[in-house]
Amino acid sequence: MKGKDLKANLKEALKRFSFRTTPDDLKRRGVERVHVVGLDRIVGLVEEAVRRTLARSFHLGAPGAGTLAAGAREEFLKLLERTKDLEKARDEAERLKKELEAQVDTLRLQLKETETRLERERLRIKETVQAQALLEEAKLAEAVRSLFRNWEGEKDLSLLREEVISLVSSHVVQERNKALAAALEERDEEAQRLRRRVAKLASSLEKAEEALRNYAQNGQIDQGISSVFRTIQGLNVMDPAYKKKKEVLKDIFLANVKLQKELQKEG
Amino acid sequence: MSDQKESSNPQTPDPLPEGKDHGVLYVGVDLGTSRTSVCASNGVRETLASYVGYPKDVVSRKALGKEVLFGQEALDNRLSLRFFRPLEKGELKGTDQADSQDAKENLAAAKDLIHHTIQLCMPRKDELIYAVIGVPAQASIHNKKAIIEAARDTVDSVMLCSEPFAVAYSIDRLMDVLVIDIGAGTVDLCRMHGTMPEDADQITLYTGGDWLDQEIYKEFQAACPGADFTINMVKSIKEKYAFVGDVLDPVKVEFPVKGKPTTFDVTEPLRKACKRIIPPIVEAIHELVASFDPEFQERLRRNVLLAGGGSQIRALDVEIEKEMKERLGGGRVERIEDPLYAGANGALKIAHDMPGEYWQQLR
Repeated sequence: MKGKDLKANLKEALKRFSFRTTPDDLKRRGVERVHVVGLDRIVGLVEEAVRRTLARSFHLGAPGAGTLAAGAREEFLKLLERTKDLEKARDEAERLKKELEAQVDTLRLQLKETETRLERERLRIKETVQAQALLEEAKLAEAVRSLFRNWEGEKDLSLLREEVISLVSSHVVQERNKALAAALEERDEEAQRLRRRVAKLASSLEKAEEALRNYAQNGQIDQGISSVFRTIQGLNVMDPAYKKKKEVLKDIFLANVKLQKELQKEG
Repeated sequence: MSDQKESSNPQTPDPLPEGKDHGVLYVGVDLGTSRTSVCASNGVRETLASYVGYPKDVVSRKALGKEVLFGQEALDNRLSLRFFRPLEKGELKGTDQADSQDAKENLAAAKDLIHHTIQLCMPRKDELIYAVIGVPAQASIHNKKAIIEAARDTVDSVMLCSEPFAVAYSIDRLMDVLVIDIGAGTVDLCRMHGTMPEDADQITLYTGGDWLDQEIYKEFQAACPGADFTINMVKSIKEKYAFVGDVLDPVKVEFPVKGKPTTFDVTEPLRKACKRIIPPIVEAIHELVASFDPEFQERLRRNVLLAGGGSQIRALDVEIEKEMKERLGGGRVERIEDPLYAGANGALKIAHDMPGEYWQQLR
């Protein structure tokens, strides 16, 4: 990675982790004089500090330190990239969460509206059918009565008249019911469609809510930063002071065992 | 570089604690009288003032919105808190009278402080937490036990080690080095000779930062007639301006006099008080050098390392060298880099290097 890119990235990192303020704001907070260090200077210092620390810590000459420094730069840039990736992933998760929340809201609204519409439709059909049946029945009865009025004066026609009315009425009602059933069937198809829509919306709502719950749960689990170690470590056998360190670590351990045994005894 | 590590598989491993099978978080803690610093193997490092506070009543609890406050936040709100500084002179307060109410409250505050410190590392719930805590070189057995007890609830396994040893371990200098860790409660001197330091290798002085605050306070009282100031104000001034060398810029501070802010030049009283920290340190260096193997005394004198918050007193290294020249015929004093975190870093390094079977035996 070129030095230029590193500087640009260091600058970017410094900008990201710094905050902006104004001289007026500083004044309001009682600050009158400030030390000013340019970004280039800080970047230079960081580079120099890394180089020197490496040279001192590992007793390396300039070429060795240079190689390590180059490696460190690479790692730094990788870390920056990883940070960017993590930020992207976080932003994406946030966006998804917002979308899901909006979707749940919309679905809840649609579900409520659909249920209300369905109920209104049911009532309307029922009322319409009942009103039409009553009306038709009354009209027919009146027509038959009118017919028989014309035959008044004839003996023993009253029984016949009632019988005819009853017969016609039941026939008409049956026919009417058939017609109404057909109408209702048509309406029912609409109702069924609405029912299916409600079921689908309810299922989507459930899924969206489940996704939100998972998001919230995962959010909790992810609170925390993973250790870089997945397993228990131990002293590196390549450490130049391996033997000495092993001894002192054993001493520390034994002193702690003794201490904790005493503590256990005390209960 | 090779990644070969010492075997970490004991023959009969204990089962892992429930749900903790996703990694190991190593934590190094420097539990100091004034500041507590922590470094963890997930890259987190934090420091906070060792203060703990609990709201005094329902009103303050509601106003503060918290059950317990830590660090600077606790200090800033101390008037509405039951305020604790659980450590004094490098030890948990009241560990010698464990049954007293004061000791119980301080232990509870220390527990909360350690818990909070570990939480600052943002551990994952499914990871094991193995911690090494640095304690003063000559901490009493009661104190060590109290710290272990305080930490047990928070971590899966805990070990203690001497603070100056942790500092030396952090920079891989375990041979013929004399570490001086200047903390708020104690000044710990420890000579390293490649093995675990024994009692004879360590000296603890009680002329640390808190003692120095009192000395500066007395000097200021004499030098600033009529001025109103507290020990906390003195501490802030010390942390900002403490020096023992030549004057570069005069130190001017503002103290109220009958309510009116008044400027005082405290350069000389500050220097005078700060210089008092040097003689006991050099005396202790002398003692440790003189009782060391004569063949290696010269090497020890030339490898004196200054660590801890007190090492930030300007020109302290140079002035100790001057005093050593007079009393010991010479010496070389070096400040360690990153004094705030050196102890915690060393503790973290020890935690990492400790074989796995040791950790598991202490679970």
